[in-house]
Amino acid sequence: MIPPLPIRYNTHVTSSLRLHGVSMAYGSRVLFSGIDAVVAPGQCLVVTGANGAGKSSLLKIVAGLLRPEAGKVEFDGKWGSAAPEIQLYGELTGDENLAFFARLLAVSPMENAALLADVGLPPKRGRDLVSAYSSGMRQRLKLATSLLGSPPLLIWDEPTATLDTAGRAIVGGLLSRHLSGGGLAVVATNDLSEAESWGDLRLNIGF
Amino acid sequence: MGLNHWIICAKSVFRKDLQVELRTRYALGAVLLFAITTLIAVSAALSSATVKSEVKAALLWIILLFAALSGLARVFVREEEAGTAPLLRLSAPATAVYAGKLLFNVALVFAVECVSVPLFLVVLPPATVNFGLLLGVLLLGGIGLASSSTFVAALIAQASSGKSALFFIVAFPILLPLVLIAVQATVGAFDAIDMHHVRAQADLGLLALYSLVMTTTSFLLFEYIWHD
Repeated sequence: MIPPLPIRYNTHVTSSLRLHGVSMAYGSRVLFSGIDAVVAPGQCLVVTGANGAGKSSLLKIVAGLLRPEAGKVEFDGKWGSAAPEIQLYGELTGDENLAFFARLLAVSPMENAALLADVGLPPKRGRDLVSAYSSGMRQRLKLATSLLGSPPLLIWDEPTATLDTAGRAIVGGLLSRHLSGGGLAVVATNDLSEAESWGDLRLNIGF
Repeated sequence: MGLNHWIICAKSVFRKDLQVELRTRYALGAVLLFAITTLIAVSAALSSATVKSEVKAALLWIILLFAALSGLARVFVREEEAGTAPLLRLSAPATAVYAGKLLFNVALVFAVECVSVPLFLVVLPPATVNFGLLLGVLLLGGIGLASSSTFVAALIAQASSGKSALFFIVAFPILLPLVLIAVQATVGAFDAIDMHHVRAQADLGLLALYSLVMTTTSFLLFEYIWHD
């Protein structure tokens, strides 16, 4: 069961995320073009589509990791991102990874233990090297890192891809808590049942 | 973001790299192995020969250059290959990341110098050594070497393949002037002739200028390299 909304999830978002005519192509291959969307506080934009359709590229564009061919993304605030291509330091422990990114983001490291608990990682596993983690545990740690500092916008690419049933429930709970706290999210998934449960705003990217 | 936070970010990146290096010893192992092996090979080959101070100075910098190059490129290549670069890009200002990486490479070069230079002075002792001058050359030359290599490492890290070959190709023309000046200054430090000392002091000025220009240029350009 997901615990009651802690104070750090009250993000008090006032800004919406706006996508204006976002287009992406790799060489002559157009992935998507002219995507317009507005995601208001409390809303989740769920991006679906076949493998290779461009879901991850769109999320990278939203996160500022990729420049679109055309169009622009507007958001006034911080964001946290978790994606398959975003990795943590295998040579550091889970705690050290969280502490490192907390320092970079000017976030109090006091939250780290609570974040590990939120994603279902026992505190003692935080002392293990990430290289010894299973893929599901790494995914949980990535999600915890994306929650550092309670960013108003969460950008999660396939957040449940390597998780077990309990982990999937945790993702759903975290997302729901984030949205009810006034946060907004952009989440990509291949699972249509998840897509339905996560939000009403849908974007299906096709070839 | 204030200056304080920028400093915290730079320090954190440096500490993280140091922590990872002390656990894996990848770069340190490679550079020290290269330096010590080369020194032993050179000293064995030249054991019965009379070697001029010009040759000794050149040998010292060849060893330092290639030892350092074998490890310095790792700072950015490791981030890209391990997939940790995207989160670092999202979490810290580009110039603070560069500063942290530069500090780490400066520390690595100084570690190489601390091990290989005393060893060099034992196995290939020059007739005289002006230690103050030699220290100045090693300090400024080391900073220049680390600064240029860090910048080139950032440039080539995002190449899809052939990073090592690319690193040497791009670094060579950038580092050649530094090495030439450093060798000339080291000749002065290995020589008892006063005129050579005066010239070596002028070379120290050039080394300082090289390091300053390279570091400033790197800071100005790094943001574009890091985010593209």
